[in-house]
Amino acid sequence: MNVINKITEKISPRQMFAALVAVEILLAAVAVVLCLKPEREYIFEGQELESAHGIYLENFLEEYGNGYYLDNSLFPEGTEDLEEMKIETPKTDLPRGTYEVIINYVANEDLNTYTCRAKYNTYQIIYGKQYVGLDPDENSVAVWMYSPLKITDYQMSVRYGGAGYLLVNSIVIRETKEWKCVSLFFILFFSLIIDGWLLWRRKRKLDASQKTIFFLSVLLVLLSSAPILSFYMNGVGDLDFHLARIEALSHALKAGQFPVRLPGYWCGGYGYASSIFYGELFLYFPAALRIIGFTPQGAYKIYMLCVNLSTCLLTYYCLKKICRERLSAFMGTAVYMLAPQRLITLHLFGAVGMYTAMVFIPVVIYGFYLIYRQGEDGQEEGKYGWLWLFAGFSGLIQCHVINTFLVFVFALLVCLIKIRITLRKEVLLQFVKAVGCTILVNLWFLLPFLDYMRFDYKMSALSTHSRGRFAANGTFISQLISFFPHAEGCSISAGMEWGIDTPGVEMSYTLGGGIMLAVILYIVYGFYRKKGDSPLRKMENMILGICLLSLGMTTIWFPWDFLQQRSDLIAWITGSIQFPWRFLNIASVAGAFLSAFLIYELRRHAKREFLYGAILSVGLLSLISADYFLQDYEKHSEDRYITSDEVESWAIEVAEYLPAGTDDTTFEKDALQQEGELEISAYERGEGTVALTCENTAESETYVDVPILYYKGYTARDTETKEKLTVIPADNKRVRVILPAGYEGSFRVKFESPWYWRVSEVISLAAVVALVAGMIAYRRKKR
Amino acid sequence: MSEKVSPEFLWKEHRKQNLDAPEKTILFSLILLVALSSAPIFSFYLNGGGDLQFHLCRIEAIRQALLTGQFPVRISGYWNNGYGYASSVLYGEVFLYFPALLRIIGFSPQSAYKMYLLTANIFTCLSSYYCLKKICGERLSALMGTALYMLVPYRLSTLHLRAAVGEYTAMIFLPLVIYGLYLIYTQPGQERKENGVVHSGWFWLALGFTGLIQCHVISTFMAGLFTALVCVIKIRKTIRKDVWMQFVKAAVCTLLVNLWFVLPFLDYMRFDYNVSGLSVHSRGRFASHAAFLSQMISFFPQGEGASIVTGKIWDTDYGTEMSYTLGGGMMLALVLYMVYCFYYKEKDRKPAFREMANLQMGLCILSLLMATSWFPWDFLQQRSDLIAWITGSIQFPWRFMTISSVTGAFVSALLIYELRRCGKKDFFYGAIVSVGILTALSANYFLQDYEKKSEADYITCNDINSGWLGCAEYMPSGTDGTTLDGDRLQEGGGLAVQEYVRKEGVVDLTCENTGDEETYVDVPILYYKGYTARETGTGERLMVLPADNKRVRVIIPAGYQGSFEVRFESPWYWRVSELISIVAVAGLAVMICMENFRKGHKSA
Repeated sequence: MNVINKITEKISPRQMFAALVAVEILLAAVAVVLCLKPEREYIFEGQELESAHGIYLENFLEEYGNGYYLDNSLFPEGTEDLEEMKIETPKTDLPRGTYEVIINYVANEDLNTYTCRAKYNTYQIIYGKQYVGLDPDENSVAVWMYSPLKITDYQMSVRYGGAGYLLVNSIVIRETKEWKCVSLFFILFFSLIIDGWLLWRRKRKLDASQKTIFFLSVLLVLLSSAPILSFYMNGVGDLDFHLARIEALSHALKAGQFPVRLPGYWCGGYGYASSIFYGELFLYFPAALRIIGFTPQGAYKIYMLCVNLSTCLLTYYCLKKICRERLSAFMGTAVYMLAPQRLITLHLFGAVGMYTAMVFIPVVIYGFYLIYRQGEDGQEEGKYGWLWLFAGFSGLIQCHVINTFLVFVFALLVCLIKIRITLRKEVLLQFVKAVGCTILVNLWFLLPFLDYMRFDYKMSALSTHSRGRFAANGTFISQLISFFPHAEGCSISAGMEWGIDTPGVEMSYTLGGGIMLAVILYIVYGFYRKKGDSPLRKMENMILGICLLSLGMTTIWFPWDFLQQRSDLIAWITGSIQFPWRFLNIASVAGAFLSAFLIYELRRHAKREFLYGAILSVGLLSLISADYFLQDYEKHSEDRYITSDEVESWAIEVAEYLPAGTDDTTFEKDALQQEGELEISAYERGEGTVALTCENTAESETYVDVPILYYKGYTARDTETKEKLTVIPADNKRVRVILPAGYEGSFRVKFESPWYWRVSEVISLAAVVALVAGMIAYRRKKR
Repeated sequence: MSEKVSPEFLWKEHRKQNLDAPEKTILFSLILLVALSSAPIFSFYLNGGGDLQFHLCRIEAIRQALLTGQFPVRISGYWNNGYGYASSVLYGEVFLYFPALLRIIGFSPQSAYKMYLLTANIFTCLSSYYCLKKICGERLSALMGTALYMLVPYRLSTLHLRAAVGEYTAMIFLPLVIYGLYLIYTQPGQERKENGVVHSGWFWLALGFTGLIQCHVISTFMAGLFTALVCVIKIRKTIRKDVWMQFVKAAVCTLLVNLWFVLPFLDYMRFDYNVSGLSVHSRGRFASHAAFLSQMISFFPQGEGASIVTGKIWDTDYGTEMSYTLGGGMMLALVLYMVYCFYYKEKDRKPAFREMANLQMGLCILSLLMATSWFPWDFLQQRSDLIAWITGSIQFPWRFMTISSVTGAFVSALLIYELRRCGKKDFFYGAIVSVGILTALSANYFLQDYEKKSEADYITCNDINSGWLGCAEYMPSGTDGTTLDGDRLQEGGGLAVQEYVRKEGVVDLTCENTGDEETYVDVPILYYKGYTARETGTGERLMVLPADNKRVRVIIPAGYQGSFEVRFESPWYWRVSELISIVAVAGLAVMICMENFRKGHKSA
């Protein structure tokens, strides 16, 4: 240690930093060189394969080529030991990396399997690849594999199942680029993080309390992310849908579509309008990771970690700005991070939109605080509350429309309650700025959304289901007060509404022990505290009211049936919200803020014993509730390892955005449907595109229905003249192209954003640029 | 006169005073800890888990072997329907002589086992309290650390769910190893000389490792690994003469005292057993057996399940995965210690305790990491055959949680010690309350979940099956365990057997080789080195080899006619090692007695 100290004393921090950067550059250079190196390929075909009992055949059945052949006439004498009836590659050493192993085969029964082994059977090599069935209707299967270490004596075996025949033409082991790109990404990423940290540290040192907050925040993020910190991706709820969204985005981005509107990846190439109706801006990040080479579950996990980190940072920041001290801010952050409703949304639901939205709700609250602070006290710092409000609502819009709606309802309520301050010029102006900015910056999403909402989709039918059913979907007190939220089940009422088969257990709807105790303690404290107002007291009372109201709105006792029948607008609102338990999100964030305010107040006005007692009890109960959920989730959830093959383009869940009346069971893979005397000479189908060469030999117009789901925006353009052909929805909701009499030529069907959508994108871009420029100018002015 | 020799009088004389209130509280608390951690056995039943059946068999096997006069027990003929099994040679069993004696006295198998478990809990409590009290110099910290150790879910799981007798017995001795290391590195040389053997680090280190060797080789291995790591970390002190001499004394003492076990163990390890095959299975699989963070952070450890990947190796479906967690209390204590370190500068803390606490914290975190799937086990296994062998011997990474449990308990004790001294009473009481509540919560959740889900059995002698070999790790490699049934002989050509008796691992045979060439007879005993066939009259040996089916094959010369006995006989050098061990133990005892006498003389 002394030697190290002596060495480091002689080298200045600048020199050490320079040395570190040099090492980083070297590593990055090596990674780039690796990326540029051609990928290795090991081809084992024909007699290069090994088989103790197989026979080598040439041109099997005159169409299947050469390969090793097995059937049940070739069993060794006296035994029917299937273990030895296999065709395999010779033992091969593979350098570390990602590989695609392609087995080309022919079989007429479905008992054949493939399996692999190596000298060291690590889980990366063998998981999901042990005795996997071969589909007799296919002639090729590709298996993805990754190993961070060199693989010694790797062997892929295809095993005969004992019935019919099996011919293996070849087994190809092909290195892929993914691990190289991922390595380069990590080198660059960690270099930036480390360099950023060192540069930041040069300017400021952390004191003990800051170190503690930092350490505990890291633990909070890890704790709330614990289920994903494993080999598996425990898969429940909407996970498959969101993985498919990420896949769809990555495909569309690679195809050059930006921003992504209608990815052709969905539904086996038929397309699906999820990107229009469901904000996906933040999913561009995991989609980019997929393009780099991360696995679907790797990209998803990183996204979830980032969301948890952002939730922690933003909540702490907002609370610290409001409370102006660390302890209260940290308590509120901890309670929010560990709120069972948030953890349920993260892990049990896999509800990406909802848990991403929970990042921004604290920002909205902070924005309101600043605006009303300015309104009430004329505080200068409140001048830019509109910016925070805009940021919060923009985040909400871009990830979850329902949550935007919920937050908006409560925002409106706050404005009404504080109507006297709301109507003051400076406050009103802030709201106008916030609204204006939000609309402009998000116009690129809002305009297409509203444009498409004019048509009917399956979700319209789903919302009418809620008439008279909304209250019945509410929660009971006994469900809300649980300290021990279980981690299985789902919303039984949701299943009944959407015709989904749900397991018997109802999921948990609870605030958890910590938040409930904090609310109770705050109310009790309210009985004792001296009268007197401060901006924070008013806010605290408002938050308490919102918390209790939103809790009440989740229950069966809130008069939803009465309200629904009073007004179509309310019926429409409840239809959009779908289930009352969604209000638990609002209750959770309000409860977390209340925890922070409780500590804030106790610190100033109560004895130290009460303060420490409150911290201890609220902290412990939060931990207990969160941990119980996490371990129950660990116990009950299904462990999966999700590779690209397992992400389904058909995972559209309740298919809310399918055009109304679509029968998705009739989606055949490639089939065209044509009428009349149409002769098709060439047909090519891509993801969301169709290229057709045809001739209408009739004297009247005819049509062809292509295997793409009809949404506004699909066009058919003649390849030569670029003229548009008429496109309408067919009876089965496919795209129908009308071909005039005598038409002969080629045309391409693809999605094209209407011109006004493009204009809205330009407007949004301009708004963002103006905002950024304004902020830079403001900072310079401040200096 | 009778008053003066009564136990109460002697105790009071020794103590010179009654127990004060804190001492009574400590005693009461320790009793509660033992009772709580033993709670599942305080019933009519013996809830079955994990390796219980195997260990009950071990007790029966030792009992039977002792009754036949075999001492020390090497290969009991009880096993495997009389075929025998080398568990006593390859798995330390000296502490199981106690329940075996209880069986001989007449206790039922489950009562004998329960008494043993209770005794193990009592000794764990006493050893950890004693060591912590010696280190911290005060009772409260020692009690906190002891409470955490006694109630850590991993230990409770080892006790009840897994019934891993060797491992939970080993947990008695780990605090002694830590105490020994503490003394070696902190005790000034002069003080060591003055205080004698019992207060020397080498003695406690030797005692700790002796206990470990005698009950669980894998735990010995892990403790050895971490001890070596400590020596490397503290290399500057380690290479000082007075320190490394302590290690030499400890090593020599340990070797001599345990030679009676170690020599036969090493002698047998030259051959192949199923355990070698199992170790090979772990190549590339070790990391996949590890725990995830989500498993380790649980405050609510479930009382059911087993290691699923273990089941996959041994082709058994265990259903639910068991818990791998330190529990809420210990985890909170570790977090609080880190926070404490942010606030209190190193110069404000006593160097010895600071170093000790930091080292324990480091070892705890390292062992926790080693139990997880993020430790680069695959990378290390493939670098070196030695590491592959080590990991094969340890079998599962989650075993490192044994080390995490004991080091975590020590950190907790030192945390309370430090908080008490820093003057912040609020933090001090807050830490005690929160750590205590979470510890009790985790332990109690496990115990009630175990109670709910475990199968309640009442085990009598008739319920114990000598074929319960667990994973049959010590079976000679290639043995077909399904054929170890019945007591038929397999005779070679020309052999006429007149009389044949097999009883308690001994075969008596009277036969005649009517052929012109030598022949053989395979007796229904599993072949291990040491089995001999001696002519009844002359005492001469007949040749003995392993047969194809791993049985004992006796070669009968042409024209032989007579009786011989096949039985296990310890090789002569095993006997010599037993003598050496006795001498070593006696020597130590004499040294301690003489020192006590000298001290008593001085104080008089």
